[in-house]
Amino acid sequence: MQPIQPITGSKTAINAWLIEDHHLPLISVSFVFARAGSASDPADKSGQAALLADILLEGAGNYDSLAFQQEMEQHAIKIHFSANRDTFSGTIQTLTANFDKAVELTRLALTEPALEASSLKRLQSQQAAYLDYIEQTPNPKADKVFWAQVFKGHPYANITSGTRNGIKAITPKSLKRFLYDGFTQDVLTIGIVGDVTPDQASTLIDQVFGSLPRVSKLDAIPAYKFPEKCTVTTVEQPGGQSIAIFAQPGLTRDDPRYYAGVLLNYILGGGGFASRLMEEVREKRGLTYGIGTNLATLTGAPLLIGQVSTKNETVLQALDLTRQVWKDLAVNGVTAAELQAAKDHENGSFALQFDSTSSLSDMLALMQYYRLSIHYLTERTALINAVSLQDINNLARSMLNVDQLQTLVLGQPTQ
Amino acid sequence: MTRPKLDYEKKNNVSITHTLRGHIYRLLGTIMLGLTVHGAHAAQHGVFEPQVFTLENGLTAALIENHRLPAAVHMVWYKVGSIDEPKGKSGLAHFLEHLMFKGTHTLKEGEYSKTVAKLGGEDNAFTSTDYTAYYVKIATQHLPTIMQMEADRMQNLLLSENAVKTERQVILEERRSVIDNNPGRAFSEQLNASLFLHHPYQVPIIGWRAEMEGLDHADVVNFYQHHYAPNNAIVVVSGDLTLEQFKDLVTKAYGNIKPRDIAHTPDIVEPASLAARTVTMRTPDIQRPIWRRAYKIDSYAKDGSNAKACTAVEVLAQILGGSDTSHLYQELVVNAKIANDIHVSADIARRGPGVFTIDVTPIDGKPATLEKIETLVNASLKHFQEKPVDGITLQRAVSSLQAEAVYARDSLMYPATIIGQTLTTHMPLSMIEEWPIRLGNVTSTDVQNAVSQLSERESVTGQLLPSAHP
Repeated sequence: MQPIQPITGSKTAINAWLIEDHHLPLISVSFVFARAGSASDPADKSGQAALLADILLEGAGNYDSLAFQQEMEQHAIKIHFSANRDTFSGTIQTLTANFDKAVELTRLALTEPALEASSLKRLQSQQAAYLDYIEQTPNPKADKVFWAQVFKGHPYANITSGTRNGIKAITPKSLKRFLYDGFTQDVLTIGIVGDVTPDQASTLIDQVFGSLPRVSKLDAIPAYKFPEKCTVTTVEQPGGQSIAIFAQPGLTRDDPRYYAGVLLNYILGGGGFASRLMEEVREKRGLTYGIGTNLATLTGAPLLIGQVSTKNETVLQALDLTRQVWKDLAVNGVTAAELQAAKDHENGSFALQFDSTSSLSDMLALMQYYRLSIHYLTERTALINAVSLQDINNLARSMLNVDQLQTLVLGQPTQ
Repeated sequence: MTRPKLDYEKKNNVSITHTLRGHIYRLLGTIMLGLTVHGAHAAQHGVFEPQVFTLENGLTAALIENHRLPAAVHMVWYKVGSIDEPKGKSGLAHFLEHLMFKGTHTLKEGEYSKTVAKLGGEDNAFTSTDYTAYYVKIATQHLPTIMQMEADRMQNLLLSENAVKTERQVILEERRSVIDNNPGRAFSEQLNASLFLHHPYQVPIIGWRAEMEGLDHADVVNFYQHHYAPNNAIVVVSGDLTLEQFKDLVTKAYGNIKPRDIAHTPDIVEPASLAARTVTMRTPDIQRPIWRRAYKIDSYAKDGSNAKACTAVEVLAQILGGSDTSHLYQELVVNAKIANDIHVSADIARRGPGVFTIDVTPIDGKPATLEKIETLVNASLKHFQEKPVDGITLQRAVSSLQAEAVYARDSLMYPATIIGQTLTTHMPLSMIEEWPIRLGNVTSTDVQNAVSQLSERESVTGQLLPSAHP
């Protein structure tokens, strides 16, 4: 892999990271606008950032909706925008031959979107239909209910797709306002990878992002105060299976214990068949098809969050086992062999995810969003290896706390 | 990204799609860097350029070189899927796939996945109607270890009664998660069972619950002994090694395994249907209705003779419903405003009959809306049958499909998957290697002929509706 080059716009002071790779005639550009995610939706317009991600491709500049989409298809340009709770991000993929067209279409989408009433109406209907789909599909429904329960009163309470009333309240004017307030140079990070020179990349930065306002007007996402005591909430749902989601406070991305956290999560439930939860709940007892945990570094509420699904008769048993595994790790810690296996996996697998151009450009944008070193891709192994058995077990003792677990069960659990 | 991922590792997926467009579209690799979009030059070489050879024991091996990272994807494909199950044993192929992770004479239960994890690899497996595949993505230096373990479980699987019993609960939980608790998937299962009159494609890959509950140790062992052998397997590697290195590794790891007698399933001839069917499923858990039309059509034939017609069907699917510029999206979603979304796919890279599916998400479940959708879909098909598609629309569809061939090469997994699928379904590799050229040769008359393949009496029209009408 070629090294990362820091580059700057030729006429602006906007920065980006670039990896030149001429293996294939492809270029991928990724960007992140911090703060411009669904947590920054206006209180009465929940779902706006998600809708914006779609409507930006519904015509811009002199192209109406159909003409814009036809240009993309004709030139095989893929532009994908998305919002999550914290950020708005985009990935643009093009063949080298159509690079100029890709730059033009992306610039127009971000700076001169049509935001037409007819497109808005159609997308509002689509997004509301997606909410219906969530209602009838247990996994995303459990996720939705979990956030609504646990984060009541916080901007994280709604899912990114928002609420029916919120979607209805979105107007072309409110979208424009959000664009102006949130798509700004001070919260922007950019990664570029592929068949492109530094000069071409500098020009791209100016052309696509150069006319954006300088400073974000969006408020920082407020910190969430996690409840002190554990709770278990059951929401009735017919069908033979229950889904449980459970979470406790996790670690921020800049926490010095973060890498110990990555390894601890791997051993607890992040490591698939190598994890203790999978071993106890699926492999030994056959109670579930899937159980796992994740260290989620959300700005306002870093979490250690997990999920299990199992039939109604065994969900309480599965949760009991989960708490036992959790407690045992806190009290007794991990073994040296488990730590070594987790390190080996993390170090071996990290680079494997970058076998596509877009996965690497996404990573470059995210590394800057998280303020990581430009040498992170090569330094990460050392950061993982530096975690000692004492580090990880100190973290397990201080962090893992079943008495703070917030649990949501969607289903009809029975003893 | 920062959003918690809640879809964790779900090992042992039941694979349910195998479209040449759907796969090829994303999987099909590359080529013709010159041709693609305003294509000027014809291709000088093939799409993936797989290098294929066969060992004396019958094992086929294919390498797709990719030297971008010091890594590789290793896949073992067995030419056995759910259509090879004995009658009354539905779900057996997928059950065995799960149990393949339970150990051998020398490998303890669960040790396979733990070893892969420790080496920094990712492993998983999937079962389809036509094949079963096991894959690992890992640093190239560990390929010998992976091959040694794969070769071991190809011949030495050791199953305890208890492992079978525990894992049977897991697949029943999987069925509960994936089908029973998901009205959309349950509807697909019903519709599929009705589409095929006789062919085993009517049986769900995961199995019918009552039969899954009865699968036992003897069933699994018997199935394993009659289908898992080098002469029924294909090893595909995509990654950072040369043909010489690959040949050496494959011969060492797999060359000494003895071939077995394979229980070949006879090709089942699906009879011509004389009656169009409708399937209406009502459930209280539904807010979002579904309208779907599925047609049985010809798939890519073993000898490749059907390639031209199949390629035209893929172009038709793209023009009808491949993007937001497509005919049905514009008609139903943008103009008539009676649908939220549409999707069209051609599932034709298979051993048996293919399926062409038109999926519509209606704006509501009112009978008048659903009727109007059906009328407009029928009118659209008639339109493309009677009037040749205009050159600009045809060219845009072809260009975007050809470009997918370039994008698909930007990965380790996709090329290995598409080559494995092609070899296990007995298709000539030219089906893949010449795909972009065939696309470029599709004419508007070919597209008209493709519409003619969609015969009403070979179709099922399905509706998934809420229990009570609004």
